[in-house]
Amino acid sequence: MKKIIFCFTSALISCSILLISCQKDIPNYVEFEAYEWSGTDPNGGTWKTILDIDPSTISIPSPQLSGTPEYRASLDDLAAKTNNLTSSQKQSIQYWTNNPTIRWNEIARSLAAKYNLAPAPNEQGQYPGPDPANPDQYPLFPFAHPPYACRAFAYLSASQFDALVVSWHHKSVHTQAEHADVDARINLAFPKSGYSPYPSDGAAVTATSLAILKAMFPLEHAYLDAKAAEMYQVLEWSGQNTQSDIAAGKLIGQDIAQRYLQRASSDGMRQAQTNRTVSDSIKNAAFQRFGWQWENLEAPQRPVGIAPKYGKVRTWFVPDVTQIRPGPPPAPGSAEFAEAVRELESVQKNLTNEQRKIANWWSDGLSSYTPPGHWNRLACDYIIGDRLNPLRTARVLAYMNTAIMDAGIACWDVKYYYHYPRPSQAVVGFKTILGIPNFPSYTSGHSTFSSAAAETLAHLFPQKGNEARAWAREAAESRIYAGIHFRFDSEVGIDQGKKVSEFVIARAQTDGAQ
Amino acid sequence: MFRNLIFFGLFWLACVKISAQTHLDEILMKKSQLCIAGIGTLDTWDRYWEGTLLRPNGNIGDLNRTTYNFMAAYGLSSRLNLLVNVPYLRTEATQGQLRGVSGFQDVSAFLKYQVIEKRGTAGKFSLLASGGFSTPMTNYLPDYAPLNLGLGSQELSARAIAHFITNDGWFARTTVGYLHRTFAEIERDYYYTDIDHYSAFVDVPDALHTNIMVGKWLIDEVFRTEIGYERLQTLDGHDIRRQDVGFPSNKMESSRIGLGVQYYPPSNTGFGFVAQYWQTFAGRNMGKSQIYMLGVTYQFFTQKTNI
Repeated sequence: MKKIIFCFTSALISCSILLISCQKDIPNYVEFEAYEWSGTDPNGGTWKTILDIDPSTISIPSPQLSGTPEYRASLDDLAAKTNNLTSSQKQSIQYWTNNPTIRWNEIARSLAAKYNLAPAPNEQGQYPGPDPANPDQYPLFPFAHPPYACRAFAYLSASQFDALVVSWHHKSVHTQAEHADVDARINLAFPKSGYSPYPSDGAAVTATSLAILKAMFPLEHAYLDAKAAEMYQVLEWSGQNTQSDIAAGKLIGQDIAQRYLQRASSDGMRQAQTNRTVSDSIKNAAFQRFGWQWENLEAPQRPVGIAPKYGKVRTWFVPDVTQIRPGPPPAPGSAEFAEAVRELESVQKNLTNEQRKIANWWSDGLSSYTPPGHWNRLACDYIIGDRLNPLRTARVLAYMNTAIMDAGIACWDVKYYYHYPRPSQAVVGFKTILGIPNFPSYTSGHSTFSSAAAETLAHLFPQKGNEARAWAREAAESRIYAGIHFRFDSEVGIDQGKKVSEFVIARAQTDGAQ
Repeated sequence: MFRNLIFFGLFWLACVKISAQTHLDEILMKKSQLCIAGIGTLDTWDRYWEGTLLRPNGNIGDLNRTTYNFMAAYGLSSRLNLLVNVPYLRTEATQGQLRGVSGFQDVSAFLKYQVIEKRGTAGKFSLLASGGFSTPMTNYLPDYAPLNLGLGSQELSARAIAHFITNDGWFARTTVGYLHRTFAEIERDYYYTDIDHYSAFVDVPDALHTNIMVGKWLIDEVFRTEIGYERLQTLDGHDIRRQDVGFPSNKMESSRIGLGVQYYPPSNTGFGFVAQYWQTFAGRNMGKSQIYMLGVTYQFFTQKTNI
């Protein structure tokens, strides 16, 4: 008996030790270290920008000439700032690294997740929507659903790319030696950049990111200002840039951001979320055409789906999404439809652990950074893996995110044109393992976003092409496992995403960077 | 999403009818004695606290959580007992399209030790300490609120139990416990609570558990009735945001009152029957549950000893 007691007690104690020792901090951001660029792209200033901006039309003052007292004074200032850093300053340097575009992307993902909550019904069972004019009144503005989030990512990334092309242009015009090479007192926290510190590319990216994200997330000004202020200081604490480098970078970033915000103000997003009358007429049009219509099945019912006119929002590279609109899905009652239903029922009945895991892994639903955010995270891993410089980093994110947004627009055009029911509407009593998104079924947004992202990444990282496409495939399958899409929603979505990516890749092939 | 804390207290009490000279303060099996039990529970709610806001949800309707507990208590010595519990659960929502789940939840084992037993003129006082460990038996998904079978974490618990019974059968018992929970693992490696988490691990907050019962033997050794109060409170965690779903790292609070009866047929067959009802009256990020419990216990009298 003593032996049993002893065994049990020791087992309990070992469990305790094991449990306590596994408790680690959960990271709140993706940890990576500053790295040396695999190349510096000295001709980057000649690349074509997304908005076709001529870099020479954005002027900045000439840098301080070496040897002048002003230049010496700014180096003294920088040297002082890089010495005797506090541990919190060192943490900031480590957090931002020498490639802040990656961190800004992560901040955008975080805000997308924070604001990705559907409005709650009020006491009367109605769903008042967010009001951009009163963002702090519940429901808070924005509701960062996938169309909203992917637009924010696209504007952010495209503007970062353009700001860096312009920065690279001015770096080649105003070439200066790196400060740490001129003054040995300056402690450079990162590997040498290999290009001129004037104008500061980190400041250009930060200024444009700040302005774009403030516009997209108007309740986050204080948070974003604090992030940007920290980043500007990191440029000095790390020994990369003097105040004059930073000021010039900010000018570029702010100028670029204004151009993007002007585009955003008239891209059709404001009209994308319609009222009930417009929504009903879109629904009726589909019913007249096809004899079916998707309905939201929540209780109380949400009378308007997410962004019925998002399909009309201005694209980046696809000239006309209706030109790549696929044919209709199988009519309910047809043999093809019955086959798709059989598959869904069989999957739900025999759901394996692996299928459940895939459904959850790609769920990217409410309170998450959405499927476009998921792809941004994967792209950042590829970027770090290939040690891309800031300009190449922004180029990857710009093309991938414009492709994703164009895919979203194309997909939403199809969704509301066909207005096709979800499996749970078409099959009475059908249960799912994920919540059902508030928009029509055909085609699958996950599949379309993911395919466009994967094809673009496959072009930019040829050696990763198979992996990226396999992930897109898995994301498309995940919706079938979850029970929220028919197979044809996913298959056609994959095709459509690929078609979208062709336009984006054609542009990438001719922007001067290849 | 909520562990079935009150069973343990109930079960200890249910298994104590051993011999004529003991009352329910003797919450221990004698050496080598064995008691087994099967207890079914229905935990049902139609409103829950989203943070501090009590609300219904048309996409859930009623949330029903049925649990079948299979338990055994064994006297390692007359002062030290071992208890094991295996719960099988089934969840369902009466509205909405989310699929309910079923399966084994967390197996638990407890050691319980009698520290003090003092008999005075008015009655008898005893103090006990228990330590337990529980771990998920299956790979159920904790990231599936409100239909998840459990929190998905392992738990180490320590409890102190003070008990007093008067000579004429009135009794009062207080249990205070600290529950340490480990990380749960979910099937995605990013989630947002009130901050980003780049991990598949979720920090399930530790909790305090208090249970107070007062009652009386109405027919000595045959029929007992009691009323009680119970509170569970995590020491950390975050609120469910507006129109978001629950998550294992939520701040969780619930306060309940309940009543129960126990019946041991006088024929001394070894069987006992228990029933309880609990009503939740305050909470946070949990359902406003009503709990119905029904169980059968069986006491083996294999090895009578006088230890």
